[in-house]
Amino acid sequence: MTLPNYMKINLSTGEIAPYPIPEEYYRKFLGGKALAARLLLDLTPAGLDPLDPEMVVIVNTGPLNGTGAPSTSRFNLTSKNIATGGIASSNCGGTFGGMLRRAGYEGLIITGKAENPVRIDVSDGDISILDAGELWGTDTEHAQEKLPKHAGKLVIGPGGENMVRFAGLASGERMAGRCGIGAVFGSKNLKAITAYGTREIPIAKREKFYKFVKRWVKFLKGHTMTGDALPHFGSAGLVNKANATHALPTKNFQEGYYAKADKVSGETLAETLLTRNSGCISCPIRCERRVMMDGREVKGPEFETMGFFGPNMGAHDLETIIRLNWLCDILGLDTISAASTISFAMELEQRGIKDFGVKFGDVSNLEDVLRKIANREGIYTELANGSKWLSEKYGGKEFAMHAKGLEMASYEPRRSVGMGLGYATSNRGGCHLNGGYMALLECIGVLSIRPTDHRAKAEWTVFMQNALEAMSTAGCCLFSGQTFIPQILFNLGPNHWITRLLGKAAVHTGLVVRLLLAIRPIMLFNTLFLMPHAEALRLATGLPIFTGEFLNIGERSYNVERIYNLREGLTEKDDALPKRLTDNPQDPSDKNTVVPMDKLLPKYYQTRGWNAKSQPKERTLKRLGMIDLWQKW
Amino acid sequence: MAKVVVKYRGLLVDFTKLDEEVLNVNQIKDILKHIKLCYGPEAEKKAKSMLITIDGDSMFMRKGFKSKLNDGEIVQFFPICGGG
Ligand code: SF4
Repeated sequence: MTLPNYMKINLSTGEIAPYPIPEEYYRKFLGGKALAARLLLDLTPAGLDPLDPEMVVIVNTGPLNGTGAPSTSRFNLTSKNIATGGIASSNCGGTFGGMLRRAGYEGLIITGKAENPVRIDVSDGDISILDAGELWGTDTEHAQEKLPKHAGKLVIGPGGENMVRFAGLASGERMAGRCGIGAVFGSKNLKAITAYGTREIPIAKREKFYKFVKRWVKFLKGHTMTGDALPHFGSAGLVNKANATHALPTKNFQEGYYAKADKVSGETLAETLLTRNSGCISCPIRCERRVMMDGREVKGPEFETMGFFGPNMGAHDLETIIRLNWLCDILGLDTISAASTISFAMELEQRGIKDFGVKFGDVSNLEDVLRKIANREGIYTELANGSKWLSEKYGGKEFAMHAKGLEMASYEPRRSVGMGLGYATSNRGGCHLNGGYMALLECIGVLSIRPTDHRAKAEWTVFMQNALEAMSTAGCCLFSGQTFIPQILFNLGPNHWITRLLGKAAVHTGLVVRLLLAIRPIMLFNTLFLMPHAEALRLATGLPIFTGEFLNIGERSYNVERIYNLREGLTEKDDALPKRLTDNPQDPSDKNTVVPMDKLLPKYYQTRGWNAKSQPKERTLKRLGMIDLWQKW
Repeated sequence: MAKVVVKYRGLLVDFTKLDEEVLNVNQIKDILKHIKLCYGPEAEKKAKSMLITIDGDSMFMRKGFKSKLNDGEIVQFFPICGGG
């Protein structure tokens, strides 16, 4: 077994030294966000300020990164989130992760603070800290142009330099947007990391691995979701779907339906400004949209960005959305948090509470607003602190649309209550993916598990959270997991009576899911149809990873991040949603259109093996082999 | 009979060869009959497997294929999508 190679880099002292990963950590947490959270617990004291020089940022990969297995370009960043006070993890595609491994390293642990702007260069085993004075002040596009062409790049823009709480990082045109890790880079005077290498990535059973990869690619191409829907429409295709089920946040989640949503839909994009689809390296799905903007081709917006700079602001100008998406990327801002914070400010204006010069229905001045946020100019420095901070200063907590301090994604949870539970319980805050992405099973996919019914949603949420977490840990794109929905359902279509019956019946499957979670120790098989990632991991690492253990890794990841949050002072009270979603029915004539957290949360804790304070129970940690972390909060 | 605008999206256009037409129909199932008659059974099969909306709302917010249509409404056929 080859253990992952991590280096610790202290920007205050310039010291660069190997950081050995204990074999036990590797076996239990593998890599990516799971291993990073475990290391963060060891490497930082409780209560450390995210902007303190001692704070650690971990940039790491999973065992499948760079192997050429499908959709395995995703690398991870972990630190502490300024906005939530809890775990920050952010995921990004592009060439950087594979390049870092080819340069000889699975992860970098960065601490300290440089006196002047610097960048870290990793070249075929050599790591150096270089001056980045001439890069400082540049946007992510120009900064990358000045860096070596052949290298994988990871850079912050003005947002990170000015420590905007939702500053992300760019790698090529891909973004590690969520959780404000760009601000932690900025606080360390760290502008960029580049990686280049030519080393061979270790694969335990190489021949079998590549045979399996061939089968996996064929399977992905043959599945409607990954071979047709995502390549043709990307995530942008979800605008009309979410709108049709009233799950499209409109005017800061005041409503879930926007009459002109089609004007900013993936279909309209495909018919007008789309030039082609593209994708991350080694990905056969290729969900990325390429679109025209001012005579040049740029990366198109994802569903969340279209929804948030469109209907959630009461607007429908596709060209403006494309421009704002691009602008957020070059300024190094997370589009979800930036747009959601502005939407909150628009509601403050609508209610006459505070005027930041932004109004529902008018997006004409947002380029200027975004630049001022990124540069923390004037009153816009307040918007740079996010919606939680704003609601604490000006009021409006009940309609500040975040969970734990991280702005929620573009799915209205009153029409997808499982998604609501996911937002509330997600360790990093209001994230749809970390939250288990129940919207896919409730309101936007082929199957519709009664979106406003709370039954079985806690169990499904736990299952989905664990599965997505495990994929992420492996270095895989979560889209590659969408094949777990059986192809037969796509053949039948969403309107077929069998599909509809299954959706209705699924609310009675809570026990079945719990059984599935309970029998993990005997799930000693791997199959293309459920979690192909497990087989790829088994062959790549040589570890006995079968479906059951794969799901265990996901559960360990969820628990270790929870333990970090508990240690940092977060409690069960932080597993909550704004009152708008729990107390005000979206449809006033239907009292079921709220998220019934009182019914969902206790069941969720029970299924997770946590107590009512959201703390993992002793027997849960024993079962997961994590008893050393019992009461480490 | 209601006069409605029917919009075809995604791969359904490969069958219909047009994006949009105006039809006089009572229910969604009348539109499907029209598709079968004019564009063939394969087109109807495809249409049936798509998300069908009436003025942006899923047809299941009314009565599915039996949803009664009103003058001026827009019925759209969307492909299934994924993402996150
Ligand atoms: S599915 Fe899309 S985001 Fe995921 S790896 Fe492929 S191109 Fe990148």
